[in-house]
Amino acid sequence: MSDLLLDINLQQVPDDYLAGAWRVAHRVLNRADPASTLAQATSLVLGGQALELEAPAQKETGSWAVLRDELLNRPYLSLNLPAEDMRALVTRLRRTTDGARAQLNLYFSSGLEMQLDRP
Amino acid sequence: MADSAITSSLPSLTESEIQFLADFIPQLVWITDPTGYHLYFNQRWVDYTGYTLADSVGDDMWNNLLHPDDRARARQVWGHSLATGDNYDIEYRFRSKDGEYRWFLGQASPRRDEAGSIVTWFGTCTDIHDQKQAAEALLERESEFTTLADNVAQLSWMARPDGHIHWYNKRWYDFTGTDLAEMQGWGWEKVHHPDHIKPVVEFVSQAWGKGEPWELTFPLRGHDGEYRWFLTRAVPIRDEQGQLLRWLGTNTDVTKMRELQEQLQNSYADLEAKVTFRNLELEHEVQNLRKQLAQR
Repeated sequence: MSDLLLDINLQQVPDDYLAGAWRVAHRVLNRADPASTLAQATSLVLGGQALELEAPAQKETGSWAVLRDELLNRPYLSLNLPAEDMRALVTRLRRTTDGARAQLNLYFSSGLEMQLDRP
Repeated sequence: MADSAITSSLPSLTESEIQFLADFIPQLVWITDPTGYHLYFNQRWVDYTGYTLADSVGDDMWNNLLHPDDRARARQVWGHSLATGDNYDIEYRFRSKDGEYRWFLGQASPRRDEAGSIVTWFGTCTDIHDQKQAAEALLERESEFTTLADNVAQLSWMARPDGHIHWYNKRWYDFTGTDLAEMQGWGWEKVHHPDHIKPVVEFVSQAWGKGEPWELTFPLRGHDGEYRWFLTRAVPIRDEQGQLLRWLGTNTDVTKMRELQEQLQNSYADLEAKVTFRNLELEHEVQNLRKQLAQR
């Protein structure tokens, strides 16, 4: 089986391609608050409708959903935590042909950018 | 019968006429007995070498005349002819009486008696120095061009006017892992991508006939099985009458450039999406306003 990550067409990506246990591989804070749980997150679990956000000193749970808008040619995520609600645009999704490995790039409305790897 | 007719038609030459002829021809002329002992040198020999027949006894004259690098070979080849009766044929350097070495083509044939025994050897030394130097200069020039062609960054090739490729540089073979036997003519099709080969063949088939410079970008398969994108440029080479002699072609690896171009396009698309995403509510209001304006 090929280990090559292939770009997924974001106009046709199925919602379940975005679900799973993601590890934060890189992040660019831009002007986002560096002290926020999201800015320090080490993993993000998107399962069913449940969201788990894990940072070194804390863990938060909430819900998530995939949203689409006719103005955008790609989906975005609505992430709802007790303290705040966030939106994140999917800028890139790469997967192996068998889906065993994947790479997800998110752009948050705060300006924060994240690269998530799975597993 | 024919031989005797020819012989009878030849005038009888006097000794002085034969002497004149031997001195007139542009070669150094010599005659030896069957053992290699010199019996005659023409005037050109004496004029060039400064040695007379009397000097030829012993090894001194030969050691002085022959270039040190040619002595052993000349001795071996001449010894072989004397021992076997085979014609003598060799290239070597002779030193003139002025001390300058020049290349000569030495040739000799045995004259035999009716019993087949060698009576004398007739030999000539023809000055081939200028041709030799021109040939060496040509070889050196060819070697320099080959070095240049093999070390330029591009893959290069040469084709006949009809597009039959007859030469590739080393970089082509290094990249594709092929050889000339496999590639010459239309063998290049083997290293093209099956999804791209059809339009390439259609394009070049027309391009050869037009005789104008052309460019085309397509992927080529490397020896590792990976495809890389190349910008191919071909230029027609013509003679003074404008007749197409050959095509010179290069393939420049543009894979990295295409990747960067794609990244740039993606970044631009991402930026547009990010801006729209950041202003989603505002964008909706703008859209509604546009619709309302359009309906009026």
